[in-house]
Amino acid sequence: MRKYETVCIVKPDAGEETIKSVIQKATGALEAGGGRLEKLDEWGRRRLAYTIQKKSEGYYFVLYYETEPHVSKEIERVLKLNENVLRYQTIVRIERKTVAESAKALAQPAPAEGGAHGNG
Amino acid sequence: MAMDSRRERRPERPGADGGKRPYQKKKVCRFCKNADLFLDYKDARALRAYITERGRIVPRRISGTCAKHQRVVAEAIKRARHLAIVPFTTISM
Repeated sequence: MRKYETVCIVKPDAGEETIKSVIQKATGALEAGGGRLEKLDEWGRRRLAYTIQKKSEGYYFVLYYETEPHVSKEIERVLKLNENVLRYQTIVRIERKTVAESAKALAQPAPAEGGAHGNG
Repeated sequence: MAMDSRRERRPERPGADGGKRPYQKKKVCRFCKNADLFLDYKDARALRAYITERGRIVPRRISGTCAKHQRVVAEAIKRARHLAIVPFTTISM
């Protein structure tokens, strides 16, 4: 089992139901393959940094899940086949704190230095 | 540009005084200093520090990032570019 995260951009003018169905298809493929969805993060409509298929906005959602490699491939395939999907990207996730989170942690007294990650 | 003004300040023969530029303090890699700092490709705000106005990746000699972490930063920016979180360039439209 591996941890993955998939970010997907759906056409914003597709309508709420189509967007819902894209999400459902992706999570459906995950469940069918026997994976565990950790979190579904819907960013909603967001401006694109550049136009994709002449669209300057997109509906973003992120899936955080844990599954076997062939299932994540299947999820990508489902997204690729869908015409309402502008972009998608799957990465293998490595649990680390983000800049925002560690900035927050720095503001508060640090709860003991974690085991040194080999730097340098 | 900032780069040019710095070049002008450089002495006539660089390397004459041991190759050290007079006014520069050694930069320390932000990610080495703080072991659990991690740049997320989904965080446009955090990425902005490593992108020029034109959308280019800020070089190591400017940002002070070490080689190891520069690779991580570059990877994050490239991932963000693919997802239109960050532009490839600002003039392409």
